[in-house]
Amino acid sequence: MEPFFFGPAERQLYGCYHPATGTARGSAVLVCQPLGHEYIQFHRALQQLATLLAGAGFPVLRFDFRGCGDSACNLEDGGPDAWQEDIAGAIEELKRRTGRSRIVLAGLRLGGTLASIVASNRNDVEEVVLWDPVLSGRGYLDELTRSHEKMLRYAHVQPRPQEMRHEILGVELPDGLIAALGSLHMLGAVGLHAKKVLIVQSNPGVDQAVLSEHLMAQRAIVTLREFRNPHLWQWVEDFGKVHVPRKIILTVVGWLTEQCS
Amino acid sequence: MLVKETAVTFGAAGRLTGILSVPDRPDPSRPAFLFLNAGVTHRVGPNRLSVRLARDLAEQGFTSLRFDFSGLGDSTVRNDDLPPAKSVLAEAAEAMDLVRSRSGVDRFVPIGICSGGTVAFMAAREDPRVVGAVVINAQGHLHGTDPELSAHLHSRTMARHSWRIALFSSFRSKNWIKALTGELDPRRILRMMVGFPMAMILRRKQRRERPAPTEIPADPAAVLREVLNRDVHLFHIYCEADEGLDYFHVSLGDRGPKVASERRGRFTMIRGANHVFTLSWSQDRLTEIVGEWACTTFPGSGSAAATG
Repeated sequence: MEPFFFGPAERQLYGCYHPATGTARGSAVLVCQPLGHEYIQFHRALQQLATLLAGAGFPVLRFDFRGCGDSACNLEDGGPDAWQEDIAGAIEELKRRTGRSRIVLAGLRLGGTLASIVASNRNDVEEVVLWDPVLSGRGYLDELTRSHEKMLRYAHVQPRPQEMRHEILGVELPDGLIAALGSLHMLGAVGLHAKKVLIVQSNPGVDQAVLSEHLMAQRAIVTLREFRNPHLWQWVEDFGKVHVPRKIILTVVGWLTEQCS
Repeated sequence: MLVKETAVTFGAAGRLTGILSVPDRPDPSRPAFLFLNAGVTHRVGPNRLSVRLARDLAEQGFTSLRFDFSGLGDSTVRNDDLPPAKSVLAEAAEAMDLVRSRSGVDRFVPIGICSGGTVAFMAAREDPRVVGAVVINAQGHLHGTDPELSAHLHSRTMARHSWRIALFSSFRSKNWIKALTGELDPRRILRMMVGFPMAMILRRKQRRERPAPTEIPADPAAVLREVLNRDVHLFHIYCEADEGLDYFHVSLGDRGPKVASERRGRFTMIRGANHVFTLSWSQDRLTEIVGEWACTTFPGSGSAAATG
């Protein structure tokens, strides 16, 4: 595992490169992380996914979007367009490091949505893994807002009305970002013609069958796998109670190993 | 002032991963901060707090390293048999070695939330290079590792915590509304209000009946003073909702905050905040008080602040 920063000096992105340790495969995998509290809650899961993929022969790069994790900037510098630019930069970095020309994009939640939009405009991405992607930005914000309101009811926190800002589960969202996310519609933005797509559904709040049908109508080769794991999507104060969904991770590794043999 | 951040690997076989933050005009007279993992959360910290604090402190001329202990975040697991209580201290020492070799700074301030706070205190106790420590929402740091003692302390802590939250905290009306409207599980209320006090009484009885404890408990006030008497700048921060605050009072009694403020110590409680600073006002408050403490405690040569 090799941690490093890459990209333009004014907005360096943090990446963690996992060199392939198993029988080398022709594709390299770029892992696109989710945002906000989901980034923290799923960090270990995506780290384990990357480790297992590397063991299966895929060189893997995990990276943090600008304004997230260890990358430079704050959330006001991010947004769907800026983060798609980050994915494109990360693809180039991964190609440069590995010499591979074929890239797999694997993304969780908003990371999945952005990965699918980027993949739509590229010929070097043939396989895409979408783990509970966000289909509607408005729906995503509503879902997070409901979780935030539930947290305010149950957690021992005292809101200060005089200091109220747009915040969701520990993350302050700038107005510009809320507007940009609110206008994000995945179905209208993706075109994964003839690409192989694995959709993982574990969040009961979003029906991924709609996406599956939409992509199949575009002649994408879609595999939809469902898991019943509602606890995975509940906000927890104690991150020690977050579990790693091993079945999902093994499904992703198995599917990619099959597709890129 | 700009900050230069570099990803680093260090320790045996380079198994530890961290981000070194160096101000563009570092003040070598100021110590470096070491951000320690909060429980199993990786080094960015709950709600990205460690990143924010590291960058804010860099603005004031402080170098820092936020890193993952082995087996957490981007650091790989150890392959020796060192127990976690010892490996975290060994790895904190390796982190200090790295910062010294990269920046020349050889005085340190470990800072951590939850178990990170406990390790920060332990490092202050053991490593002479530590000149300050920020201990946030920590529990257990004034005692040893005896499991029987820990279980007894936990019962006492939770009993105090349940009653304090229900009757005396700023969350009490919220809790009673939830209880009266049936939003709280009555079994949970019973466990909190009766179960923990019962367990406390039973464990006290068990401890009395057992003549030879595996570890002789030290006086927690003496443990705290041992660090303060070394002139370490020790800053205890507790959130109102945190069980650590009850641990602190159970251990030291009502004189706890006074003892913690002796010599170069300081104690602060943040009312209305929870264990991981979920609301943004509480994140602002933490950033503000840590920044203010750092600048007044370690004023430095002044060159960095003046030019920043």
